[in-house]
Amino acid sequence: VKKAAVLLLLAGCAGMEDTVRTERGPLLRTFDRPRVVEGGVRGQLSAEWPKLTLTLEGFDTCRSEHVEEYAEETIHEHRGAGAGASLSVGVVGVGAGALLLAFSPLFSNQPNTGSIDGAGHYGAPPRDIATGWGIGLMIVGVPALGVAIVQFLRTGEEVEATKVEQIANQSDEVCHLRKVDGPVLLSNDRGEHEGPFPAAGGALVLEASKLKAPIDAFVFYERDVPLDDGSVRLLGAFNGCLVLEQQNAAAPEAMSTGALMKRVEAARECKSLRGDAIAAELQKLEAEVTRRREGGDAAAFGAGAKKLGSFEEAVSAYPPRLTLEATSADLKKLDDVEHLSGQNVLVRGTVEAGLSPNIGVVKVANRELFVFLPPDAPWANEDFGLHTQVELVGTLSGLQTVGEKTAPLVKAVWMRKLSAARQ
Amino acid sequence: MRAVLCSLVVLASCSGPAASDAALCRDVAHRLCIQPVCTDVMTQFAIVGDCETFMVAHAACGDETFIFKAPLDRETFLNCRLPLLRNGDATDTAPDCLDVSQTFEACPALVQLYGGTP
Repeated sequence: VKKAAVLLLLAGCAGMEDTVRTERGPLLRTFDRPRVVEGGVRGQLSAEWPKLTLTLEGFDTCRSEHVEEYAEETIHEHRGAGAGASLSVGVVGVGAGALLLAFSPLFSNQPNTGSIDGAGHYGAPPRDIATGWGIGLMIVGVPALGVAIVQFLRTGEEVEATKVEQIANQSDEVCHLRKVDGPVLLSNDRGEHEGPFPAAGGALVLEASKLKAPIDAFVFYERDVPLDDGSVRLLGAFNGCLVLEQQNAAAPEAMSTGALMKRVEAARECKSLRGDAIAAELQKLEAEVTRRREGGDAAAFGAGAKKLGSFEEAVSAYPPRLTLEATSADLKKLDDVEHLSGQNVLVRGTVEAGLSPNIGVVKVANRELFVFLPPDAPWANEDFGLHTQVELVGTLSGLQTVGEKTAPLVKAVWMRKLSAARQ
Repeated sequence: MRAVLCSLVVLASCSGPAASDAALCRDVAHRLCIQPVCTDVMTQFAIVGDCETFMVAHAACGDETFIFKAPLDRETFLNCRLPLLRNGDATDTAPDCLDVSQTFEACPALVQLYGGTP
């Protein structure tokens, strides 16, 4: 029991440092591991006015993981803190102490009469001094040696070999396609929801007449149903037709410009779905828009023209297909201007005349162009005097006759002086 | 028990057996007479011949049977001797003259023992 207590005491004094390190070993093997992870529901639209059919398709994600398996060793190291120092002190202490004790009989046992202390005693005999030092050194050396031995016994390392996997790459594929049924909500651009409408046999058929507003998204169990690009375009067309159907169809001339522009936009989108059925109305609407533009109604240019902030933005928004300037080969194309109608152009020339507050004449080489300036454009306040060098980006709009003069008309999106451009 | 014995051995190794009264008496005479002798020793003792011989003869401690007697018993003598040890325990260590003066002032019985006039 006493020995166990001493060992326990020494083990307590023998502080150990424990460290753990991991070493990656060689590649053991590679393999592919198939997994099925959560998929979702996607939708596809088909439309035949006035019906819109949503086909719901559930799917899983089949993932193939390319796994590399490595050997790995976890090494637990135990090292005695200061074992070397303890050993040195222990060996020296025990060795010297043992020598002194062993040879103490060789020392004189006579007191040191050359010294008498304050209590009246002679100095200690050399044998007693040697014995005292021997015992002192043993008292220090034995525990130090014990601690060192315990530390050396406990020093070592344990190696734990394991296998670890590392996913090198993975690929996902849509799989396990299936029809899904359930309640579908329609969300619209007002933030409202219509429905739920039950999908049966994996499909939901919607009648335009039963819808309150254009559809923004389909919601299935609180998640938006993703649509492919074709379906998104089809939904836009269906929504356009729905707007045309739900709006009061007043005569285009009687509409406000804002309402007219919205209806034109809806009709353009709807055309891809209903085609000839609305072609006549679209033609009437566009003719009215053109009439209002030529009459100087800035709102008839749409919101985009007003939002532009610079010439560069205008060039970016209306990328020119033709460049009309003195040295340009595109100038000859103006001979057949009717075929260029609607194309964006970049014009560099000289202001020759101002026919009205909104229409001027710009000369490029020997060709003259009418330029229509939208009155509310942010750059329209600038004074473009006669013979000013200008550059503009705009849209060609066929031949126009003003007074006795006939020339191609360019509806300017942005115009600026050339000197300003060079600064 | 063993640990207690070891401790006693270590403590015992610091000092030896008690010196006799005669040895203590001769030790003080020896210390007082180490050259150069302090002025107080010269003035308070009418020394004739060798200083140490004079003092030991006067105290009569040349004989090992000498013992201290009241009022200067062994304990009192040891207390009087303490200032003389401030420079060291070794018998050949000369005391400081200030310590000699302090001893003479504090212990007139010691001066009288060695034949001096307090």
